[in-house]
Amino acid sequence: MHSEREAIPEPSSSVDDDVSRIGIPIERLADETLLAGLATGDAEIAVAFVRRFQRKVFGVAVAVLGDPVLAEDVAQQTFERAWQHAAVFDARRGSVAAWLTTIAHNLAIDMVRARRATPVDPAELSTLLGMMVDTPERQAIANEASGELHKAIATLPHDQARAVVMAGIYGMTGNEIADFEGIPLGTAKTRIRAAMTKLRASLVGKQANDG
Amino acid sequence: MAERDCARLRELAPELALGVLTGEERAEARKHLATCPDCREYVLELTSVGDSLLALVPGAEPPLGFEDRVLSRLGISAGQQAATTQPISVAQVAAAARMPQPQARPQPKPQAQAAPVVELERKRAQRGARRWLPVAAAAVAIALVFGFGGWAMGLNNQGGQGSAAPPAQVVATPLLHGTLLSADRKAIGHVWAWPGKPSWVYMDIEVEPHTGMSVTCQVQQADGSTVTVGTFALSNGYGHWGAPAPVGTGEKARLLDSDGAVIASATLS
Repeated sequence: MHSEREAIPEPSSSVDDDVSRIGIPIERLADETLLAGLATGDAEIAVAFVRRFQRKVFGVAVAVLGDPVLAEDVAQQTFERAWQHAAVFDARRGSVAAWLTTIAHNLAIDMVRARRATPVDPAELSTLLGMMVDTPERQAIANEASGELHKAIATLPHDQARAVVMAGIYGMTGNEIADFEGIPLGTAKTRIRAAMTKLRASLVGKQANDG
Repeated sequence: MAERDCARLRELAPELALGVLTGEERAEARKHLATCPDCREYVLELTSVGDSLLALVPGAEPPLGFEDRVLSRLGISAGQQAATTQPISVAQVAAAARMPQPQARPQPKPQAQAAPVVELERKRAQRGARRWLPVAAAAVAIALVFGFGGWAMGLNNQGGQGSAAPPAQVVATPLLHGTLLSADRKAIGHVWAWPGKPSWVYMDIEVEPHTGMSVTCQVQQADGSTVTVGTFALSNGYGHWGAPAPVGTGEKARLLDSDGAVIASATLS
């Protein structure tokens, strides 16, 4: 398993196509190519990059923070980090979108913790969970691992799904979840563990089937 | 004892992977992971689950003007913006890596070394269809062909308190470069090569237009042997191409026309 992770894959067909073609529209460049182009400081490439990922990045930030002003700050910081660290992006470890959303998520969690704000509104949690289980964008994730995860999370018991969203999206600790739900700490931890174990099994199972 | 440690880790792993494990439990988990590759792999898989969860979060339209504010934050002038529907060659990004950006007042350059390259730039500038940008050649060329080395997710992200900066991994292998010189010492392109694993070459070339012209790339290795890397087509005299290839410092890359005649060569350094 480990060696498979270390193996360097063949270039993706999209990148390969890009390299072999001349004069393709900038909007059709592969994500990795656009990220590489971001390092040029060229406004045209930067605009295309921001346009391609801004909804995803802002969506994660505003989901965690619940405040559009703070979320914009986090989203801007995310693109700034991407610009600064484009050279260390490793396509072997995930997509550009996953990289960006991870940066945005980490920044948002940092901001929540620094401000010691109430991490989540109960109504927002229910809304977010509902959207994650039955999102209108599910077509867009149909070809990703998240497509499998989407199916798996929809089949989780509701209390486990809530626990994993609180921990995984809002960054809430076991203690915070226990307080929020009015349950013992051990129960909160058990819900997180049970949910994550099932979600992992869905992804590992898909990889086994694909392999 | 070790099995019991692994069982305990499996209890803590989900929270660790989601970055919400704190205090003594976090220290306990990290201590075990330092000595147990199987459990590290398990945590990595769970971290991947956590990252995939983020993909389920619905997108949201940022406030009006967001794009401009990002560019301003990056120090990119809004005045530089252009319509994004204009076609752009991928090679514009990659091949321009070492090209000085055209300046309003061109500075005199040392003739002895720069003449062939200046000639190439002048020729390209006359075409006017491409913009040459100062970029990091290594980063761009690697990304175009194989992706960059090293944004570390997973264990680097399990600190529990959020780790905003993407962890860096230094790519130690230097990128090699050579200017493709024709028989009459004119610069007609560039070759970049990365002698890492896997090793590869990437090049761009511009010659007098010949319809349907294709060129073959060969690498002359240090032991004198020649390896044919592949053949690619030029369009209107221009092309860019990359492929896995056995390359190293001091070796030569050369391009042959369809008749097998050498039209240019470059020494990689």
